[in-house]
Amino acid sequence: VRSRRSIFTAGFLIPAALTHRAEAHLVSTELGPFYDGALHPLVTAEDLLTILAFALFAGLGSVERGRRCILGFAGGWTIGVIAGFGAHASEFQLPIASAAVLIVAAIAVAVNLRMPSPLLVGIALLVGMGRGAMNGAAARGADGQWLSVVGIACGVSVLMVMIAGFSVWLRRRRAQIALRVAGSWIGAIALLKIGWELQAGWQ
Amino acid sequence: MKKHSDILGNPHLLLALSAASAFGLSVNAYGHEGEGSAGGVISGMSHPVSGLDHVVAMVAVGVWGAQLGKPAIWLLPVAFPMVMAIGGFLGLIGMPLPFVEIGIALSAIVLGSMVLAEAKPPIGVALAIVAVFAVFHGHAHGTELPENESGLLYSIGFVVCTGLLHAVGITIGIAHIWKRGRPFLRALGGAVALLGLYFLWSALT
Repeated sequence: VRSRRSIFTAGFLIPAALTHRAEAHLVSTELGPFYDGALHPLVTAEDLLTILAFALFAGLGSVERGRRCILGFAGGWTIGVIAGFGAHASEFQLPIASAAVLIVAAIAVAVNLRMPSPLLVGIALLVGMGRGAMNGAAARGADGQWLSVVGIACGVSVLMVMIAGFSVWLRRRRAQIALRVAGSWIGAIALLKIGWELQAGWQ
Repeated sequence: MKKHSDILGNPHLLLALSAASAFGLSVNAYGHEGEGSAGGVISGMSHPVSGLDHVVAMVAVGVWGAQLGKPAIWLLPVAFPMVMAIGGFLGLIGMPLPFVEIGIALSAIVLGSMVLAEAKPPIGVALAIVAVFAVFHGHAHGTELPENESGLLYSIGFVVCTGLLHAVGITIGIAHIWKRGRPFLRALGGAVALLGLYFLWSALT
């Protein structure tokens, strides 16, 4: 027991002695665009809702299917961001189409739709690419845009994994209905969003 | 008792419902809530609780769902936001819907009466009743939405708050499993129906 305690103590003390100064000010690390990208999905309601819908959908099915969905979605998003760098922001701002896609995804969650895994991955890939392209078009020309791609990819992946993991946890505790209710809420929000957009367009 | 044993036997679900109810009953913390994105969400959350007619109807939906048991206890809260959003969408795009205020008042009368009578119609009928009234409630919200708000953020607050009001109703409705809870719920239903009559009187005069 004493030797174990010594190993643990040494394990904490040696790294503590070898540590460097904490780089609290990100300017000096030049990693700002990475963190900007990583936080982007959290601070953009449209992105967050789309991630939420697909993560809930990934969590509703089998774990294997969920993993593929996450990979397809996050991979598509990353490809989309890179593709979006080549476009003008206005070309990829399609609020009504985005909301319509969100409605379909949300209804799929609300009714607990079962679909073949390749189809699910294909849809996740396409939707991820679409949202990613909008991110890329908006971030085009910004400083450190390639670092922001890495950040966005990490942010989307981590969020997807966390929400899908929580969904699986809920599903295994017979609280699957909570996920379906959340799907219904997202669908309702997306439909109202279309109404707002149409209203704004007509005014 | 047996019907609801799965709800009582699931501590996670009970905890989630209690937390949702606590959120639903809490008041706003005024920390510069009118600024930025928070303004849209808070504004949206305030709207469903700003009118007693909406509040009692939403809570009654939850209570009735709890009285009906599975699957209605979950189907009603899943269906209501979607159908309400259809009404809200129609209101937003300027599509007129006649007798909205009367429809909202009737919703309180009908839903309150259902709770009072512990009515248990087929699930399709229950869903249809709730869906029809959801359109009226949604339309009223859609036409009353303020300008200069972020549509998406406002909608998030608005839908989440409506859902939390249902959760409050479901949590109250769980009293149905206790013998002494049933008269309380029926009295609550009667009170909602009476309020509905008052709303109807106000809408007609």
